[in-house]
Amino acid sequence: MVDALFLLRAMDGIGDRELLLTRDFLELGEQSRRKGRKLWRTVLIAAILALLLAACGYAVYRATMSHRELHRSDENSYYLDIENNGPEGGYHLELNHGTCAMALHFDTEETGCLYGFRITEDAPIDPAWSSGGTNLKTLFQTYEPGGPRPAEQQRSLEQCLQDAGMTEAEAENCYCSMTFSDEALVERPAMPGRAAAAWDRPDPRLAGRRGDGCPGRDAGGASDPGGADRDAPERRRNAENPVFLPL
Amino acid sequence: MEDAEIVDLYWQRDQQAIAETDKKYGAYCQHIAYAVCSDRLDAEECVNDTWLRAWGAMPDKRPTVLATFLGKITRNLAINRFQRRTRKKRGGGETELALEELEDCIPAALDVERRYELQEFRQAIGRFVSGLSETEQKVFVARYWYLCPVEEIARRLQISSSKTKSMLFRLRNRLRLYLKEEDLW
Repeated sequence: MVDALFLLRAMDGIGDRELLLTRDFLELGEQSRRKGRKLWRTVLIAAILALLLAACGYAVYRATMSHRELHRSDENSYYLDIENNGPEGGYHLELNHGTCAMALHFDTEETGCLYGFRITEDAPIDPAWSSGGTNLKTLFQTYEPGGPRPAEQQRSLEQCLQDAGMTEAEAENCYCSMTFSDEALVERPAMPGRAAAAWDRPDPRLAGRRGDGCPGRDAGGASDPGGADRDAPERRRNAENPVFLPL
Repeated sequence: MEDAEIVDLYWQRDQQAIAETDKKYGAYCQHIAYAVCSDRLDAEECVNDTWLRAWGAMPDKRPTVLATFLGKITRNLAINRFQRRTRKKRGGGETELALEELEDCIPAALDVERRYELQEFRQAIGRFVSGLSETEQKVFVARYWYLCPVEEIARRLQISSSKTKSMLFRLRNRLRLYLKEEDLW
């Protein structure tokens, strides 16, 4: 009596060569060989996943953090770019102190303004700013070695901020953080091409306003009218080398 | 460990032979048994019975290819187990059980005849498969010896399932014709 089961048993007549050929084809080989292959595959998948994870991490870093990198722009001018991530209604500020110079700039969420300061050794509080538009102002100030102490710098900045149009309370709120670093800092922040080009271009509108920033250092300042002559060389230098950010 | 060394252990009646066999061919035999039984426990029992059979078969036999020797034992044991299980399911017990008991009373001549018939079929199928192309051999053996799913065969051959099915259909027809030519049908 021949039935399907009988035929299934009769398949035993298939030769060893064909059975081994098909065993290899189906990858039913020896246990150790299969285990080794499986391990190798697992390691490969793990490596690919790790690589993807690293790539994702790098992409996130590039997208969110790279603009906070410190770049060298020239030998005497440094600054740190920061994100507009201050507390709601307040301001965020990071101040970096380089070996050659120290610089800062910060922005405000509330007004969308961007400010920077430059304070030189000769004229430690000599801010300048530009009005790049109704929503954006820039003020840049660099601290150089031998300049004012941090506390003094802070006071000076408060003063400058008030001069830039902030109330005293607003200016106080600016100081969310203040960081001093030993590393020499940097060049301009990541910015669109047009703004980058404008970085080095003097803003003619500023010419008349230069020196308006800080009382006590400003020739026309109410608090220290006599300071004009003392700071004249520095102002001249600033006029030759504008540092505004008309973004 | 090499196959020859394992066979030597069997011939020396060293129990390490079973451990080594299990280590090297446990998964292979398990796969064969599971393909037939579709039950893990049954498959495990089949594999354990295989080691016992191998222990009993050697030293009289010295298999040239240990893998296929063990694979064939496992497969036969699994088919037996499958047959028993389907009998139980089918008959609800008594009829199948009575038939199974009566099988003991079948004259030896009939049994010999059946064995002879099976042997004839085995040889014919062996010849048939050896005459196929390599791809056809792989497909036929994978399906009807290793009981591999059609989709799996198609995936490994990187062809569609329908193409694999039609290939199997043609192979079955050719087998039927071949068995007719051999006066076995």
